[in-house]
Amino acid sequence: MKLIEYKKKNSVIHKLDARTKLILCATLILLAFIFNDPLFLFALFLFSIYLSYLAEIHHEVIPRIKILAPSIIMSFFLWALFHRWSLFGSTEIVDVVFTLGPLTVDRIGLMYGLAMPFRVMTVLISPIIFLMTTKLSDVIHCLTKLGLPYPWAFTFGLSTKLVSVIGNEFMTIKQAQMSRGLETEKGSLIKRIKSHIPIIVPLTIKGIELSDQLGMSMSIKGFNPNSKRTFYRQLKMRKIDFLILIICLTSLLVSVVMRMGGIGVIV
Amino acid sequence: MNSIINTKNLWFAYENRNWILRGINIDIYPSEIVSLIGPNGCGKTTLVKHFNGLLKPVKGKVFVKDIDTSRASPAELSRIVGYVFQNPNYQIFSATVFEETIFGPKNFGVENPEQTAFSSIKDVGLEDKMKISPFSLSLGEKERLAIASVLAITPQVFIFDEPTTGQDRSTTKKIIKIVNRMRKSNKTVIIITHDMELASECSDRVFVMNRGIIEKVGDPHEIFSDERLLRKIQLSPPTIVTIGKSLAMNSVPLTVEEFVKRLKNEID
Repeated sequence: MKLIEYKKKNSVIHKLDARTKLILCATLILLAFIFNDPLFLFALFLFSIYLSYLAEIHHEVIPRIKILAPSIIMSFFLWALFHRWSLFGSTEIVDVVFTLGPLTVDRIGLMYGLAMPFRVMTVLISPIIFLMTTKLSDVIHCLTKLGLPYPWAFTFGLSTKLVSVIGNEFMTIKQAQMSRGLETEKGSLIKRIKSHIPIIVPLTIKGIELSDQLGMSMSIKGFNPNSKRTFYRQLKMRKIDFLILIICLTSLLVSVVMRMGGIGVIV
Repeated sequence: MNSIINTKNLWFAYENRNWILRGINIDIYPSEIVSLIGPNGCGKTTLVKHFNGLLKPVKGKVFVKDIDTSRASPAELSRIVGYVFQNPNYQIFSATVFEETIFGPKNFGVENPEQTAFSSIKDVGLEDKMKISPFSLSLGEKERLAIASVLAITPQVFIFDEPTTGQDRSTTKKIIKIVNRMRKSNKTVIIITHDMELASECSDRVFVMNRGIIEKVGDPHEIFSDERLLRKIQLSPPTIVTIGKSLAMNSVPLTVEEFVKRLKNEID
């Protein structure tokens, strides 16, 4: 499975301006942090899945959520059991739901436990949708249009691409070592960490080689990050883009007001 | 004879979409050397990754020595099926050639791992480089080291994934020698290759794959005289086969030695 890679489709989302998609993605992330009520966050999660469906990439997004299942389950238990010791928690126990030895799960903990996995998933799915529906060149162009210096935008764009490449290399190296009897899932935590050394060493070397080759091929093509750049493809905002931007801004404002009024917040 | 590897209606797709393997039925027998040829992306590597459990069938079954691979871990199956990956750099991590070779035998609990590692290194002709860093080896030497580190596991089946890609003729000859030694020690060898010389010189049978199916199975003479098939899979026959055909020889020669012998017979 390729981790995150642009998927060429002819969907409504693909046709949106890259800036609109980036702002939509940022709005979803901000909304996921404004609210902490499980129902609100569940609605946001469903909306992000709906967006992936509109973008015709739900077949790619859903298996990625499955990969995240262990961390999602862990976040449920961590928040349910330990929310009272978090930065925003209160030491007071409200309506005990059940106890697990010395640990108590109260109503607030349960609500946090239910809410946080949806927050995590929304925060992860939104950028995936953005990156899978936007060409790398458009990601870079969009970031420069939004005021980011070109070298930074280029580095960001390239790193998203490299994450995918390195992810694939990781899988191949893991398979090569598994064929020589390496088992990464057995034994104590220390043993499991140590068992990753035969994967990490070739991966690091591969990463260095990759960046070296990339640097060389960019030099050959006369790449200079500090030169003034022009883009062959121009980004163009359409009516639908402006409409989505207005909806994003309005929903952010309304959400802040709701939050201040105690709506969408666990009490 | 009972097959050592057997697939029954094997279907495979990544993320359950776009079938890469479409109903593969093959049998590979003990002590046999087979080559798997076909265009890029036809599913050769995907197929062999099922033999040591790195991939599991979406539909159908794969049996290795009657073990259902969907119920066995890659670690269990790799003891029987050794896999030499296409790029040796994917597995090198140790400080010395010897340590790199002994990694597999130690993982699998092979008896007397030092001795096994040493004889594997000797088999591939790297005994003078045992104490040096594997990262300082040439690509050809790294390929031979990768072979040694799988040899040291002492599996019954060897898979070579494009062993001669990017290698010079001298390394290719060394690899052919290693394969021939494996033949003598009754090992089963599966070679994925685009090198038609390698496929024709080493194989007992050739499996031709195209778009996720087995297009044809036959001995090298049969496969390399089928021009229509080779054109279809966009591969050229070995040069010696083309020369033999141009001279209207009855059966195509696969090696230079075979060609010379036939030519002498014709002249006599």
